[in-house]
Amino acid sequence: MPEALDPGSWLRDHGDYLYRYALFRARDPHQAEDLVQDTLLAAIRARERFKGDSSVRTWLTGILNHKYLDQLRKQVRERVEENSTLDRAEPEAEPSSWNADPAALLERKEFRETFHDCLTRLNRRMFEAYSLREIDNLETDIICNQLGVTATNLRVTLHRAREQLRICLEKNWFGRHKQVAGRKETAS
Amino acid sequence: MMISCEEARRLVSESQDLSLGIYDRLALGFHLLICKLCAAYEKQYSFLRAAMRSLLQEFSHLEHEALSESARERIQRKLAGRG
Repeated sequence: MPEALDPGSWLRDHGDYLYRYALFRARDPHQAEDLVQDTLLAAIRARERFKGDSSVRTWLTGILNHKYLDQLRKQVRERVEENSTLDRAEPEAEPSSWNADPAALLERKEFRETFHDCLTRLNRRMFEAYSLREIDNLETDIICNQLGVTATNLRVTLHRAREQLRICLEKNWFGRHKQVAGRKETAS
Repeated sequence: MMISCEEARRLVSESQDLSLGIYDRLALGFHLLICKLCAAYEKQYSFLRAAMRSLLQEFSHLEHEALSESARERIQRKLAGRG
């Protein structure tokens, strides 16, 4: 049976990848497992429609993403508003110059982990708004609709998410690495 | 025409989400020309966007994560019922 039509191979070859993607989006292991399961079941129903103009992995990821957005839309309707636990912005330090090439820097495991840690620290509302914008590349009016928030609210949330990420990276990567370099100099 | 740094930074964020009106665009452009700090800030924001997009290519930051055996078996059973 060709790969596209063989559900057994989907789980074997793409299960972990789909799980990582789901975990990244939903930030919850149980929900991520359910998403993988729902995705594969939906893929079985839809397999006749798989055209083969993308890879199986891309096709499956698309289905999973669709499922995730669907669940999110329902969740936000039912959700009790959590208190905003926004970190107070620190007294504004001078932004340092981030001259590194992001893609190149991300090849370093250490930086990937720092970046991921910073993302994890965004609260759920911020992470959802930010990822709909930056990962799904959705327009703001669609995000407002998806999350049930006003345009003003979204604008503020996105700015806060970016600001928190920025401060986190400044503190835990760019600033730290400057300090380490400085310490070396004084030691020598 | 002169806007504050706070206003400029708000506009930097906004410019990543929608196209700014002509007045805001000019005001921001002017501010960034004369304010080195906000210019650095804008660069950091561009970095974040680019980093976010690269991060997504492979999920290598989650390479230690995998479906648990029990979840895999559970899903396998479900699939076997439908496949």
